[in-house]
Amino acid sequence: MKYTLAIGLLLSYSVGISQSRIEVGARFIPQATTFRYSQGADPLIDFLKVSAPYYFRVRTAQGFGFTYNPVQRIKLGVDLLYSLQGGGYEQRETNLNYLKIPFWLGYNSSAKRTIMFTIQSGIELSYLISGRVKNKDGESVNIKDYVNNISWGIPFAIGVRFKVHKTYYVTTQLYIYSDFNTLSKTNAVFGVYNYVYPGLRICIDQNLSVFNRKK
Amino acid sequence: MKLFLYKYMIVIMLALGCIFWSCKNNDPKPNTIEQAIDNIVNPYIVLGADVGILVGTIKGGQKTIYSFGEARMGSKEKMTAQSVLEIASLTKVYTAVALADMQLKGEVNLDDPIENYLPNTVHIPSYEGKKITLRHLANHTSGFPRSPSNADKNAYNEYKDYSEQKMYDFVNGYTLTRAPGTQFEYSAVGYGLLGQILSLKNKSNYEVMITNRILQPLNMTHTSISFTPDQMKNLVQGHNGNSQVESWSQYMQNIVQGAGALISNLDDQLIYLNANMGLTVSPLSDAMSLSHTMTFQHTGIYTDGTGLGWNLFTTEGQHIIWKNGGNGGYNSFMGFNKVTKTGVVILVNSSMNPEIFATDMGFEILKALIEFN
Repeated sequence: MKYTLAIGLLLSYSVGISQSRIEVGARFIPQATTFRYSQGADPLIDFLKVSAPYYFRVRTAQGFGFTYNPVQRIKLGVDLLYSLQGGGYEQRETNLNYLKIPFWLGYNSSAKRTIMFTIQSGIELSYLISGRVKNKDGESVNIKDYVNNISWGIPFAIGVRFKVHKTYYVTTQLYIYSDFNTLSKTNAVFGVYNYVYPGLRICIDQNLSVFNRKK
Repeated sequence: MKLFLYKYMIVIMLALGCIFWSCKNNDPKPNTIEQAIDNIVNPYIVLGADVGILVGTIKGGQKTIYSFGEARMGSKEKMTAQSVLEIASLTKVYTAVALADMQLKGEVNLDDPIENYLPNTVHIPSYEGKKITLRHLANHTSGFPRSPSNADKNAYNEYKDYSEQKMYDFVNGYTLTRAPGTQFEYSAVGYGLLGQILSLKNKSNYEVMITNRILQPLNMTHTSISFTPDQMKNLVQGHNGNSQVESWSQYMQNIVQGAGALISNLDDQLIYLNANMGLTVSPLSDAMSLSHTMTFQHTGIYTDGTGLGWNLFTTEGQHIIWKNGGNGGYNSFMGFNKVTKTGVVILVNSSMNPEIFATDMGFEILKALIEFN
């Protein structure tokens, strides 16, 4: 724990001393969220079928994030999000709300252009804040005892980034996410994972070089 | 000031990341068998995999019933031990025990070629002179495929109105690719034919044959093929996801009924489980024991061999005899350990996910029953 913190501090210092390469901004992700199971129906395939039994629910994630460009086309990023996820059906919704920290490694085409192509992936850590099953009448039951507090997964985002002002950027990306550890806390053989397909990741960022110039 | 703020916000976020890594998902240990079963089964409900799950256990002669989820999605109504569901491929172990009973009574011989029992118009394939026997049908080594190629694979229920003539046409045109008795391949074709053979031999249909041979001797009054008004009263809706789906069983003709057409309730399934575990003496005790005897060794999921219909598996010194099933809208599992006298039946009213979920549940419950012995 001590070593990890020390590495974290060192990284943040190295990030801090090169402010002109830093962007900070808001994140908003409307997302189709469901559960993926280790066996059986596949939400990715079912999504393409008209008569899919899967029930995707549209929920959102929101928060803010930092991006650091160590070289021109490569970026490292970290977000802090409050993400509403879960699955189930309209008659029985499972709501799992998380505090999430995705760590990103990304690539974007030349920053000199107004419109840039961008692609990124990484690791996303999730901490369960609340877990409830809600029926159609609005009655809900706490299910935190059955759901793991911590989960992790792989996010993926691909899209375009627009330069809208000297230092402002708007990014819109297709966002996909899947957990890699089962959500089930009390039954380890039951493989069930949070799954987002698709999501729309919208970022509004400001490049902090403006502060350097002011100095 | 702003630079200072941004810098330390990054530190906070990285520290949060470190805290995440350090946190552990503590698996709470159950204190009672009720809690253990709740821990095993309830995640399938609360995490959206199933609509309703009925669990019946037998331990030390004591039967206990648990109900999770709902009888119909959104109804808040619980299933009970009297709720009627399709038991799907669990039907195969009824067909197999009927065969074992007839073998013990000298009415058939397991090693008889099946062509002896089918109409002359049906030409049973053989492989280099080796013929398919009743035993091969019962332990899934006949060489017939999982389902007939002339069934509608794209249909929701491929056995809907699948007729005797269609099955005979399929068999007449089928060529074996290996000798019977040499390789396991789960086959609904095999069990459909076996049910048909036993019906013909008993000069009746499958339902009458299975009622006379098994259901009546065991006093199982709520197990049938027919959707009688009494059964319909307690029939539980099957689901695929959150969709209510049509029963498969009521459209299955005699030629495929032996593979998976029985409907039943938990009370009756616990009677059958109890009898198979040898906890009650019945006229079928010997036939059941015969069906539990290894006839073919092979490796598969929770499997190291097959008896007559039953899968056999030895794990951590425990010898488990089990069978599962899955039709559109329903899943099922029955498994037991004759030595520890522990057994479980699971009936599920949803089928979006395959029977392996019910099987996983079953094995976890069997483990818990032994741990809390």
